[in-house]
Amino acid sequence: MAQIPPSLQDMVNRFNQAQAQLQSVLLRKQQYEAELKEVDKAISEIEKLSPDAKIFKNVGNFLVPQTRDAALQELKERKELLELHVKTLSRQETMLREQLDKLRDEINKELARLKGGEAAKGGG
Amino acid sequence: MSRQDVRQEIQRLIEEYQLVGELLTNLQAQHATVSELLEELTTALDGVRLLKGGAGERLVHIGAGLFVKGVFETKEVLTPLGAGYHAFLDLDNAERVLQERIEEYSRLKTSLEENIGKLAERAEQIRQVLERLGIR
Repeated sequence: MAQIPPSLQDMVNRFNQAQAQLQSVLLRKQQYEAELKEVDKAISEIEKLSPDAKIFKNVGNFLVPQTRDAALQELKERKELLELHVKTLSRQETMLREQLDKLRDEINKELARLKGGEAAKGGG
Repeated sequence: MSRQDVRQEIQRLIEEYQLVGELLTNLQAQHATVSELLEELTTALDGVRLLKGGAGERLVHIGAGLFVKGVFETKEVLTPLGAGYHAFLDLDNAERVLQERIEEYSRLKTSLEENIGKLAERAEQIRQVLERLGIR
């Protein structure tokens, strides 16, 4: 079997690296989105409660009492942070997808060029 | 198709078969977890509905088939709202929260079952092709 040229090997390595990065980004994004959904659910439930409702927050093995306003403020801050994470990861995802498309094109061009060269050799 | 092409195709099919197998194992584990959660939620919902029956003596399971007599006059239950927060909700609202969660997990379970079915079908297709090619 013909030896893969170093330039092509380098492109393939970069492609695999970008693919692994994309997978990692997608996994993290999925985790943040799931957490965001959970936070949204908690916010909507707490908003239905009366201002003097007895609310408790999980802290390790303890349930610590908290006011409705404090709980809502904390959850809304957490929501903002999660949305920021998701936004950042979405940007990274777009960049990596573009990078992969570009590398895929380059690899295909290089393969076509190599095949063309081999055909010319065979014909000669 | 040259012999080398056939070899490459067989290699590709074997790799796909392994990947599908891994995905199936993963989804089946998720399905088991979701089923367990659903069972737990349904038990909790039954408990809340029992409490809605009004005050009175109840037999409460404390594990290993042991029950104790208890008198309940509860109007509220401490209910998980998500994201690590709990609140005392009246029995109607506690029932609603549990019901919503049950519906959510039921949808997830159905979706997992559909995906497991599709993957199992694909695995069987590959297995048959490989068998025809003399690979077991």
